[in-house]
Amino acid sequence: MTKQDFNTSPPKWARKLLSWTCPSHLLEEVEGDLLEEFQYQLKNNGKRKADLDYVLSVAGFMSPFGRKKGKNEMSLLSTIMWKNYFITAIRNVSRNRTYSLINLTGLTLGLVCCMLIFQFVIYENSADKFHENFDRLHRVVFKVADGGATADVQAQISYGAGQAFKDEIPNVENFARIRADFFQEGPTASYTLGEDRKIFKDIKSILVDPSFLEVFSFEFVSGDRTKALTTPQSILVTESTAERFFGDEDPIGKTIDYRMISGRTAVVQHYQVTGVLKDPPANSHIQFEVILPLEILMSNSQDRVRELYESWILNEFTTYVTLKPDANIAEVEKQMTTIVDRYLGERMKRLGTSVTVALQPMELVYFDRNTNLGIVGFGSAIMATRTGSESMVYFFTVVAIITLAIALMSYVNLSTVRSLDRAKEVGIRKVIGAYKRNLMVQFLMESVLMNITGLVIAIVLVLLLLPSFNEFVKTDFTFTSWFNDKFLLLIGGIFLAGVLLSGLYPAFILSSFMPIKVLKGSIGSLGGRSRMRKFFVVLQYAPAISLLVCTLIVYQQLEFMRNKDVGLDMYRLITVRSPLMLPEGVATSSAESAFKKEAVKIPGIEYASYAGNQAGRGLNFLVPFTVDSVGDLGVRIVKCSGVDHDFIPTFGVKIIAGQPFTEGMAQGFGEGDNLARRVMANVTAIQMWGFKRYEDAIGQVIISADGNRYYIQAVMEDFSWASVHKAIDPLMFWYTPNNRFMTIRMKADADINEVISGVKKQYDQLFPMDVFHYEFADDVYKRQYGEDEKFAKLFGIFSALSGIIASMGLFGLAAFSAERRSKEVGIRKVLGASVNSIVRLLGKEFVLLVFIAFLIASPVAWFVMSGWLQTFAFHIPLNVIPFIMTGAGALLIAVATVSWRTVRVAVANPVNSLRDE
Amino acid sequence: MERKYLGEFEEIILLIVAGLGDSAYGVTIMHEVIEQTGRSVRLNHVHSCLQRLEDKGMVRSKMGGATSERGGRRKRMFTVTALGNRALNDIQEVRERLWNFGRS
Repeated sequence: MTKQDFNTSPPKWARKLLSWTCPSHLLEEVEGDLLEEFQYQLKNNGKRKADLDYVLSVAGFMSPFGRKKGKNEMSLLSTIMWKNYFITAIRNVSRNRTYSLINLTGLTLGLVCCMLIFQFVIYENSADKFHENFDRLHRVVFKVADGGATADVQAQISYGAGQAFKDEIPNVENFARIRADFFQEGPTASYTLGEDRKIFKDIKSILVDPSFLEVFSFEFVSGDRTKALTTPQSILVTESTAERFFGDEDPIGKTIDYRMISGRTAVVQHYQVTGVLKDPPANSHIQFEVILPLEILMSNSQDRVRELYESWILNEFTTYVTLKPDANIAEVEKQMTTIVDRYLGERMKRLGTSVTVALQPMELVYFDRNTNLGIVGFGSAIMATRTGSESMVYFFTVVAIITLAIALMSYVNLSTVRSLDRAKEVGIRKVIGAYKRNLMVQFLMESVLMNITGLVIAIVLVLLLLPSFNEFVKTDFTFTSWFNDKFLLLIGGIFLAGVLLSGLYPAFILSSFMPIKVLKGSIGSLGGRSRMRKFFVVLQYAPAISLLVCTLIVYQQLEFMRNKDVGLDMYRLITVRSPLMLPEGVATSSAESAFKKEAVKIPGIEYASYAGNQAGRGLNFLVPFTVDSVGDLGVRIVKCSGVDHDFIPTFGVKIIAGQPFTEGMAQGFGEGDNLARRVMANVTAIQMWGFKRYEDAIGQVIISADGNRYYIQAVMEDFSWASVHKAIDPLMFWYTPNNRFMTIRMKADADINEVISGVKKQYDQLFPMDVFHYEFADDVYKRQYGEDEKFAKLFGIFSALSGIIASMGLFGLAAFSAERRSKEVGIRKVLGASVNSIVRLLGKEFVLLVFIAFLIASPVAWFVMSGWLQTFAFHIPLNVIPFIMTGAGALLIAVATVSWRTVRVAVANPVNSLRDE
Repeated sequence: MERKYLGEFEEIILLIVAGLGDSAYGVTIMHEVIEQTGRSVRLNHVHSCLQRLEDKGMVRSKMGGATSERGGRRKRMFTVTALGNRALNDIQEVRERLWNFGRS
């Protein structure tokens, strides 16, 4: 033992490594042996060899050598102890009932939120995946560019495209076209059984190729799949539609009277039901109630229209293709573009545009909101679709995560704090012989128990809430939709995270107590730890406050939109629809004028007017104009409709220049080649066309991009015909004495019910074959906000929930803290402190924390909300009211929750708390 | 009683433990192996072998004295058990018999 021996020792890191990898029951002698050998080597062979040898030996010890348990070490998985842990856990829970309840509730609520939202998210993300050909399915779109910045994407393409692609491109295996039977409204269908006649309006109807059934995987319930759409006068119905029409009877073979919207016949057609399909799932973007063969459209269209279809000019058909498995998408697109160029190239060049074909894979179609639904010419819209909103999906995922995070943090906080109380138990267990690992197992187990209980309750709750959730979000979840890998994985992951997060932290802290300290009682309140706790409180409250602020702003915006001055007088307006089913030989226009003539005779009606749609449903007639405006794109779309001379007074629109329509006036201005349609245009349109003053526009003739001439007769002040989401569209009205929708304004003193029954009587008399249908104009208008309202409600619910969870966490913490300081409070009281000052003392720190959370939350909410509001053309200015309200509310709640328990402690008799000693 | 078989290295270690008597522990055993057989063994080989022998019941161990060379850590001393001795004798017997088998 020379001085030298003490100064030199083997490399520290190797020693550390050894202590980690060598089992503890062998560590001592192995370390000793290695050290002794090291000294020997040092003496004989020098430091380098000694070091090398040492390191190599340590490496050797890292092998499976010695994995066998020492006889002294207690097995981690000894099942004997589990029973004890279980009992302890249960006792613990029942002793602190309030805290356990708070914890459990918070956890369960967080889980419920998460489960519901994730279910929704997964559902949306699995849209359309039920089709067998899913990965080979693509939707064909035309990208029309006009030299401007962005190309217009059109999801409706030419009639002949699908067939041409299939014939000429080998990689295109099959195609199917869909054309919704819809223009401003859906078709009417009826079924007569003896005396009983059932009429249904606004049916979701699509016209498809027979290949539709091969390309897509919609299930057949009855009927022959191969023949279903090939019979000319056939119609397919969904199960629920069949029930509506036929009740329990077998639908096959029955005849339905159908009045098509597309095409221009007023004749009622008779179709036979050749098949029944299962209702399309809610997450299919293709929705329908009945299906008809596409060729019906051709046979029911005017010659002129048919020509336009066949020359590829009219784009009204959504086309899907299935490609062969290893097709190169880019190549196919190029081939398609070449084919399209052949048919449309010339025309495009004339208009100064160019077309490229692109293939959208099926998985992107559901979320595609940017597809331009409008087309040049006769106007049409696919309404038989359901679109998902990607941003909504992302958004709610974030909300779910936040809520769960809050719940978990609250849980961790409370558990940690409560576990300080168990210091004594830990101390004793350690003295008796528990290793750190055993303690960790014990606490993990408690956390597992708590989490499992929470999970079970959450599952039950979600099952109960499922029907109402489905109603709300318009989906069809069932219990079975849970047996989806992703969902189960997610829930499993959350559960695991919950267990670990809520179990590990307290486990670590507690198992590291030194028994001596604990039993002596000097553990106290762990000053350093409370910083963590405070951090957590802030972390819980900040997102909750943000969410609540955002909710308030969302509601503000909603109110604003609902009450915004529309520019139309919506008071006492009802809309009645023109009949579709007419007696034999009666033309639509004569029916409509007859109706109006009778209707205005009814007392109580001030005005009645025909228009091409209802206020709030937008206008689908689109006319393009080339505009030489500064900078960007060349073509702007003006929305149009036909209105009669009573439109202006009925709706209360202001004319600021020119002359409105008058009864029986000529529709056109000028003659022969100079013939132009008379129109009234709104201010936005006038500005778009480049007129500096309104008066300048009067008497001018403007020419649209497809060569039609329009004579400006009057300028109307802007009003919002469609949702306030978007900016006001340029509008143009031309004159027609009759149209599809009649809007009636009732006199201020008229009895609404009387008027309505009067109109109904007229209608029924004139049109016994159809069914009277009316709506209040402002209901229709407000319905647009349905989606926004839903969003606001959901958002509100989840925000409130997170607020509740955070508050509960705070409550638990405050209550606990108050109780722990009861001795201190007792002393203070004895020394003369008032209840007030004590409450203030105890609550101060928590209130401060909430305030800090508020400070953090505000800028975040501000930022997010200003971004969201930008998506609206008209929005409220971002103001501080919601912030102040939420801040005040949060503080108030914090004060309330904190003082609840604190007051109890403060009022208690100091004798009791001090006597404990 | 069923005979438990000894591996070659185990036999060597056992013999050396028997030979070292009271002072058989990791380091000394390792040095003897190196010196007597010329093999370059490390402590981990020796220790794992000793563990196997202990599991088979051929040796027993107890903790012994600590020195400052070892930084105050105790040694684990090994001694051969009766079973171990019997095993060694059995092996020796068989070897001798086999050795004389071909050569008389």
